[in-house]
Amino acid sequence: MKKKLVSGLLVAAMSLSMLAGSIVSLADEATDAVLKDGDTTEILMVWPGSNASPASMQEVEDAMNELIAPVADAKIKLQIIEWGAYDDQINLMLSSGEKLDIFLGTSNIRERGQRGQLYDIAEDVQTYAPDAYAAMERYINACYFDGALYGLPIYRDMAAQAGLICRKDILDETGFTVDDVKTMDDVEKVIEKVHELHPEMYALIPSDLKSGCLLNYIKGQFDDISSGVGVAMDDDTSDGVTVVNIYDTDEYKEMAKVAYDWNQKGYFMPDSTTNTTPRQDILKANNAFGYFGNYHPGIVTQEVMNTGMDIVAMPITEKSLSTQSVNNIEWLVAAQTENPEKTLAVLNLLYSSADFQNLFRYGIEGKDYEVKDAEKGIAGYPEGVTSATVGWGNEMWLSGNASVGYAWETDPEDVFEKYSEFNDTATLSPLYGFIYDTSNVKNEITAISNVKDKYKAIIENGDADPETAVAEFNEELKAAGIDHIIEDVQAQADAWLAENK
Amino acid sequence: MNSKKKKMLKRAIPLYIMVAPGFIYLLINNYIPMLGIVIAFKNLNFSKGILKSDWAGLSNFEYLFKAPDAFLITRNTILYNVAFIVVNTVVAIVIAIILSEIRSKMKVKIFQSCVLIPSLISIIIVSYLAYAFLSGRTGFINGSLAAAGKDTISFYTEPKYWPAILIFINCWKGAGYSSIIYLAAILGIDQEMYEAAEIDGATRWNKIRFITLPMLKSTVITLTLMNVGRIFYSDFGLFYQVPMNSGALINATNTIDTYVYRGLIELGDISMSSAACVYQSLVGFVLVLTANWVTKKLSSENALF
Repeated sequence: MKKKLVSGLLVAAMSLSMLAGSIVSLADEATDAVLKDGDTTEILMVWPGSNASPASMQEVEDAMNELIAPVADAKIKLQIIEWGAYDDQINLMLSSGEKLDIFLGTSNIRERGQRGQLYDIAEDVQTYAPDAYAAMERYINACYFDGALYGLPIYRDMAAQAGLICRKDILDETGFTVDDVKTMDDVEKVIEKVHELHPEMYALIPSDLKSGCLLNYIKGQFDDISSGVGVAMDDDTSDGVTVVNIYDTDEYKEMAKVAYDWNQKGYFMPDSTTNTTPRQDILKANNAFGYFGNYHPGIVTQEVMNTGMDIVAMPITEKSLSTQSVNNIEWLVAAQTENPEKTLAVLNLLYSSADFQNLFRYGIEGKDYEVKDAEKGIAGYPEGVTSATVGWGNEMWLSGNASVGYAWETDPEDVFEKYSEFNDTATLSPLYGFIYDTSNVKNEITAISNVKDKYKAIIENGDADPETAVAEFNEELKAAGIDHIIEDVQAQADAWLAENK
Repeated sequence: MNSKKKKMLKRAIPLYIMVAPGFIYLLINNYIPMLGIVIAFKNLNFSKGILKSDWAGLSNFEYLFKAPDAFLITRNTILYNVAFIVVNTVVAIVIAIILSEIRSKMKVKIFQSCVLIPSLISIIIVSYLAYAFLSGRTGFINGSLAAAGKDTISFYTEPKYWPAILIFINCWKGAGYSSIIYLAAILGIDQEMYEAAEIDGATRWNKIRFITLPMLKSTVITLTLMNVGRIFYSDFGLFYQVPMNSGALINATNTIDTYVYRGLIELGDISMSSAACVYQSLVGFVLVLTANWVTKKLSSENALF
């Protein structure tokens, strides 16, 4: 009797699993029929780079096509556009409707979507790019614009945090260590000492061109939704959120005071707000100690490569994850795509196939890179190849899902765990997932952009008396209609919260 | 049709053929794109196409007038352009007269090239040349001031110097080019007039005052009328790059073009930027008509049309 029961259960279990299996294979057959329809579709993939025709381009393309062939009847065509021309070229391609399937979107995703220039993949993504969807699932929620999904976010440093990034040799001279520096007060102690030891050097330089040295000071405290209107990261959502003008908060005024004080003491590079020399070059020229900028797990590798100096980094502000920090860079599908299903299948490979990912990021194995440690998954340049002579190379932040491929030898071994941890432990914005629709306030945004250009850099560099400058700034923001934006954001955020709670 | 007319037409055919490429170019490049004006009145949606996008009425123009800085940017644009027209015309005529008085052909060529070179330099390079003079730390002017024991001037944070600086740079860059046109006009003046004046005992100054300048009048009017048509436009590079987009200078350097750029770089709204262009063209068109009308009243033979 018992035996019978067991065998009965077994039969039931087996038939159940067969049933499940046949459902899966049915679905597979359906997608297969679409992807392998016998017609070879060309898929054009476009992204920005510093070299529009790297040596290994054709080889990479051919190797990618070999990987695509078993999955879909498609042929990929790669096109790199130089940085300076990228935005204009993409706008032109989107506006003219010429051939374009996948491209790296770095700005105006919502506006492009509203103008009908992007393809909504919301319905198809789970069918044709299931692995990519699974890999990015945690972040995809922040990418729905008005219910439409135009592309996939990228595995990179999505959380935002600011820190002190500086030269190790000089930090050692001051007697401080990396572990001593945890707050802004610590930073002040360090740069005070640096200024004393090296008066000929700029203690702090701006992280970005034509901006103030403390541009990143309030990073992590607010989620800037649009034009300086946002919410505090620690806003308690149980009674709704309070939308504020960030430039009119105590935190911003405090920053203005610190900036003025430090500038008066001579810690900043003079003329920061009109400076056009990139920070890496100033550091390289032995003219500066460090800067207060973006902190992420790969920052040290990146800055060592850029400056050739021994660099250390210390996180200072809170880590935060906002909608914008996730969705501001995405691989997007263009509206004119000929075959969205096959396009998605190619994206799926970029996000889930180790071989495809390595091809995209590092190029041809044995020529552009070689595996240094197969077990740990670490790659590096072959003998005699350098970053200047290599025939291919894309940075991690645009490579889709770099975590399925090799890590680079200069990164820490566990770099991908570090990135995951960095993103996963960040404080979520109270409005994480909320995407603001700017269409009601376009006039205000244009006026405010002008006001910001006038005051922001000066205040964040302490070039003006903080009391009067911040007050004037806010007066002009009000005249430009910032209150209207606050009301509009508040209304949309309330509606969003009511729907998503 | 009589045979005479037929003959005329036959003779004109080669001329029409010669005109054709230029005419076709004008049609394709200058007339067909005018249809794009509709973009300024629509909410452009690429999936619907330009013609089928929804009409937006005048809402795309709103931001140009609602802005608190609307008066400031309009005033800046117009005043700078008026100053540019006056200063450039005077300087260009002076250069042209000086060049025309030089007898050595070799020297004329050298001077001509010298005054022409600035107009060939990219505005980005001009901005760095200016920076080399004006920068607070390494600039030539502040270096000299410091060496002489005087206080240095922070040019990039002091708006009061900028009207003069921008007018100077624009003149340095543009006057040479227009001086060539004036020089051509001067060389076209009948030499007999000068000879006759000389016999009457005219000095060099008298000849300039009573022959050259009056003869240049129509060229001046033509060039000025053409410049008036662009009075509502501003040289973006000059007003954005040369002041290094310094926030402290915005009140002195913000013009319609820089305002639109600063505002729309965030939104990337094509309809709104088209609206700005339509507005500029419209005002330019009206101004040209008005200026021409005034010219016609004052001296009808010099009007453009």
